[in-house]
Amino acid sequence: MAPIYGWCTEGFDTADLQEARALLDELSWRGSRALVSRPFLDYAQEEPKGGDVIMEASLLDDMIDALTAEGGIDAKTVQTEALRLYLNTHPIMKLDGAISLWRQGRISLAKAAEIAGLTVPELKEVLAVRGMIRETEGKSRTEMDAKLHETLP
Amino acid sequence: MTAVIADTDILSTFGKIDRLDLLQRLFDSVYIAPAVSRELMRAEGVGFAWVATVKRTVTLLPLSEDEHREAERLASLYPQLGSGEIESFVLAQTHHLLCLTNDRQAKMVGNTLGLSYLDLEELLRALKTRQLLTTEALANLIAQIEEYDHTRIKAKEQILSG
Repeated sequence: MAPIYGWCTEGFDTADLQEARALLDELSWRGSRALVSRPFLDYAQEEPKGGDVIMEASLLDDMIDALTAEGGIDAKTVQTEALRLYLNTHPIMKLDGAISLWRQGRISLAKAAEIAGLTVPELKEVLAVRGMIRETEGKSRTEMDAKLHETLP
Repeated sequence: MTAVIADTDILSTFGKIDRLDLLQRLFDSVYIAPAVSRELMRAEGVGFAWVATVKRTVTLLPLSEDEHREAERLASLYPQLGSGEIESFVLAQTHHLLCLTNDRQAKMVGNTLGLSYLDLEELLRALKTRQLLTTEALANLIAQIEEYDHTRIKAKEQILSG
């Protein structure tokens, strides 16, 4: 609408153009505010959406600070719960995370499978498809024979 | 001869190449924990046909109430392990069973708990030292495991030697 308004050279005192000017001003104001806080504007101008408003990271931090200060909620708990919810809705990322923890030696393969919501045989197939070849320890014959002598008399 | 308790990984390694008979020949009894049983049933449900052979090979060992409580305690102490590993360790403690696992985390916790275990390399070496397989047959078995279980047996030469 702004380019069309710009074509006008006269008639600015007519009701139509005054209404157009008012609308452009309103949209311009909304636009400039949206750069700062679009979620707030969405919330203020529209019907509540039930929590699907996208918030900037700075506002999320502010909200966590506010909840910590006034709501008695531990910020770490909020962040952990948010990450848990996020991973639960992104199963591939959860699988990637579980595999990474296993590859770093921080959890067992069975635990990785549990986290990913798979069975161990399924996870082994996933690793194979991704070209991840597992390796045994590579013990010496002496080590193995000593262990067998001890455990299988 | 010995009674053992196996995890899902070891059972699937031998199960998928249809060589669970080797575990039966090495040990008197092969037990599994309830959590391992549940996992195997789920695996069968999604199409792993070899689980049917596992079910004929192993015996399910239930947990008593005390063992359940001990499993909960160990699970909080060792969150890096799966529930099947935790239950297997509890049953190994109370029934004096040898654990079969190839997982490094599980082996470390097993050592901490003072449990005895055998991993895949040691199981394969036992097949050699107990003369249950010829060197050639064992080499073929290792090749099958490497191909179908996508696991490189680093101690292959050491297992086959002697």
